[in-house]
Amino acid sequence: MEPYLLGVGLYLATGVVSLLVGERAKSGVVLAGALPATLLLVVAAVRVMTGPTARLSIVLGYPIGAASFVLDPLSALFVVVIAVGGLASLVYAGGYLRSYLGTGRTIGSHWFFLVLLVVSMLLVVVIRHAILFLIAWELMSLSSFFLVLFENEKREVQRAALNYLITMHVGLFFLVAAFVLLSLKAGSFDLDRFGRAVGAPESVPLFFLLFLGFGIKAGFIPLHSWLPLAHPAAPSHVSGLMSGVMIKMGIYGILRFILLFGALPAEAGYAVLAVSLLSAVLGVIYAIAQHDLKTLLAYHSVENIGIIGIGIGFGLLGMAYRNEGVALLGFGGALFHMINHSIFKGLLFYGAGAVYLGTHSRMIDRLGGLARRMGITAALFLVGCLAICGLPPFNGFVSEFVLYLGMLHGFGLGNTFATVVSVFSVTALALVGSLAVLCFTKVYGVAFLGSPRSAEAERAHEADWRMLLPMGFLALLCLGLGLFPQTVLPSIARAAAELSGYSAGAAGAFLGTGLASLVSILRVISILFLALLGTVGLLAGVRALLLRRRTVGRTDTWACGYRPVGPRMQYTASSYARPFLELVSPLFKEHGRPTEVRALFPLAAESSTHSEELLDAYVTKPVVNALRAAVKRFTWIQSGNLQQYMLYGLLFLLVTVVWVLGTAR
Amino acid sequence: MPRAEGDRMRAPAIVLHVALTAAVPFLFLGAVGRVKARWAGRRGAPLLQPALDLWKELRKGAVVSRSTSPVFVVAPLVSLASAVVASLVVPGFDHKALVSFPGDFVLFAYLLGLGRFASLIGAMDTGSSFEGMGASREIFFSGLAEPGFFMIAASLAYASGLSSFQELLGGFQRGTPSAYLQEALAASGLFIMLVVEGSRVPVDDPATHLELTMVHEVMVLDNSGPDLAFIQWASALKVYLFASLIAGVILPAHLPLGLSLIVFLALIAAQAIAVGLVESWMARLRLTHVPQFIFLINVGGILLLFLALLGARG
Repeated sequence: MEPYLLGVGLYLATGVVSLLVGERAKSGVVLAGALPATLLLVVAAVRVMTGPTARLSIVLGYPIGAASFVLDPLSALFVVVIAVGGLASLVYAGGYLRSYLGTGRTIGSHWFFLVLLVVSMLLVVVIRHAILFLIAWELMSLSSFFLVLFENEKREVQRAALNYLITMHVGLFFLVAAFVLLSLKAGSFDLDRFGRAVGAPESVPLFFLLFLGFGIKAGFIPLHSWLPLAHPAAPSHVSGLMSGVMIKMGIYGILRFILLFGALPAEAGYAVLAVSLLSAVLGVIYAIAQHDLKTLLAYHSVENIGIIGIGIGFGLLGMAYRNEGVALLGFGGALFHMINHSIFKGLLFYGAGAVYLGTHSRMIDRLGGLARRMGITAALFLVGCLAICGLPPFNGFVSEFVLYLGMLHGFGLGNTFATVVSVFSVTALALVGSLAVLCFTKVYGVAFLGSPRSAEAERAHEADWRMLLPMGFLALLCLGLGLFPQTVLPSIARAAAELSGYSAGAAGAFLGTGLASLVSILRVISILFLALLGTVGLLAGVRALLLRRRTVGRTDTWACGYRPVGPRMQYTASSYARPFLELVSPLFKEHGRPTEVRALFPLAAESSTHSEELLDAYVTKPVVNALRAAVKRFTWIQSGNLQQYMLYGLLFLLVTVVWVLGTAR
Repeated sequence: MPRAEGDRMRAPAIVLHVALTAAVPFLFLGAVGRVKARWAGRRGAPLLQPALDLWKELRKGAVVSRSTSPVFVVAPLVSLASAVVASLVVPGFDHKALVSFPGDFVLFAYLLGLGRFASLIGAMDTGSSFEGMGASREIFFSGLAEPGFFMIAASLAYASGLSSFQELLGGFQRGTPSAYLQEALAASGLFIMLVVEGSRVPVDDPATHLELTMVHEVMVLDNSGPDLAFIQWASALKVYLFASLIAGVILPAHLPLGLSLIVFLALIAAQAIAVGLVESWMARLRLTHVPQFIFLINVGGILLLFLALLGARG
């Protein structure tokens, strides 16, 4: 535990010091602290993965009481994700924020909140005390709120940040409610006692209450509405950190309480699975409709959270039906995909930031031809695209493969309904995969390839090396984990075994055989991946050999014999996605119609369309509007007068005192 | 000892399997062309014509568009490499694949997905509106087909209780009427996959001469020389792989090796004739009707699952 505490302490100290130094020195100071801190944290996590769980108990005054901090295999996985993702974000921020230096923007507090976000996440995954957990959780929401609010003069940023703040507190409300109920039952604030306190019948509603609270952070549909607003509004190092790492805290919370509660009835598994399938499929469909690079990536976070949730759902089913294979592969696949998503989603958001700084545009249809102007960014972004589509030989494939194996084991659950669900889940995951290919070929083909579609894209320039460095590192991780997944699998399997409710001994016995067979499969896949890379290399050699003595001419793109193709004649992102979007048009509410052509010689014409999620348009918005109308009736309470507020407080106290005295006997 | 004999015959069988994978894809396309010609009353090009075309293209120079990036050059290489690696997990005439492990069909589909990704961005790289249009259609169709493939594969996996290609293709052959029906459903679903992935009628018409109506052909308008050869090789290989899968579904397990080879080749030839006849008899579907055609795979998959569930009960 010592290296862990030291790491967190160092991080915190760095944050404070960064407040005191000058604008230009901040990134250096933060990195000087963050590098050794990351090292310490990773060391602490690796120790736990290979050795015993680390704990620390302290006794604080009223109302906290005894509080414990535990670093177990599950926490350790998240610690590595936070430490590595956090460091990548901080290094990237050093490059990204350079263009804002000297513009009079307050960068000081931004660095502080960036560090605070990392620290609060590090605390969330080890605290086992209800009140302290909620404090760390709230710290996380608040610091990320200030981070989103970076470009605070823009109206859409203000709106997105406020929306985020409010949504997070709706989530907090569910968490507080669940924690109050649980601590009343357990008679303690100790999370470890929560699990033992609840019996089978009441664990399900409590689990759903917690799922609502944590699910809002994670971004499951229909709790996802903040994501596509907040991620584009925030600067890219923040979006990368929030989407890659912070939303995983929601996943952590769900997994932690599964661990605490033990086996839940099968219905919980089916419910989680249903929500996750919905999130995965709708997430990618809504992503396809987006024109803004970062909004699109935000919807892909929803999709990937859905994929992680599919694994959790199968893990729960495996536990409920007592099938070890399904439970381990489900939870293992979920954890693996959680790690992988943190890597490639960070990479993609950082790539989007590099594009934004290079062209000042995030609109895919205004980009184009960036591969020849921002070669390194384009190459690294391509790695991210392939990885997020789950394509070989990158890490996304391996975790999805583990999930597929888990679902195919689902046939062993021994009832017809579970079998049908398994087959449809396999199909749904395949659909998500192929739609992700549609979405990312659209993004990559339109934004990075072809000719520049606007003057900004024409003037695009390569990003600062401080931004390229973390991107390169993450891209390397994508390839490394894809080729050699065996390296991290034992740690993941250990956490998955704990989640499935194995005691240490039984887990060891099962992991011995189960893990070995999985590792042997993955080793075959690794060899095939190396063969794939080798074949590409071989073919490149053959091509070079064939063309050695021949002419390789360069000419304009073939335009059926007409004049060379102009950049505006290229296929747009909207047209590319059109055939599919027409197929799923019932899922959207379409705004704006193309203007009709009336006269024989039409002059100026304008057309704009914008598609809104059906759920948002017909469920979320009406509910929120109704709520707003109802709440409006009470605005007279809010006078803005301090004395009046104090009176409210006194009245509240008076009522409570009377109530307590009245019910005392 | 049959087992010892099987082991002794393994090495020549592997050689034969590799040789077939190398040679048959082009013969398959040649046969399709021949069938179409015969139906139209012409003699048709020799069976080896596609292979000769490939050889010719390999020996030519290349022309590369000015608007392209390195992606354009790398994409055909990735397409072919992914198809080649995917061929390793597809079982051949002896119901055996070179590499086999539980869930290998997932890798197969995702390798084809990688090839598709490469060819799509390769087409987008030219900046041509035609090629963008072709890419858009290609991913639309194959994107809809892929879930159907997984549904069939997962249903087969359930029916056979196994999860690697070489096991699940033969694993449900029990000689019962229900099993024959399952074979027929799986084979017809996979045949639609072949049509979609191979860009054949009624999804796409490889013989069309108008860019606006093309799907796959228009995506490779700007590729030439070895690049074009690689792309055509990859697409021929993909067609052959699906044809071998279909043959594997129908091919009875535990035949003597020689007979197995003959039946396998006959099944492949029958599919080439079927593709040729379909192309002779009908025009391609209207673009808007193609999705409905592709959804038939899912219908087949659902029926297959239903039969498998009934089989498990009864």
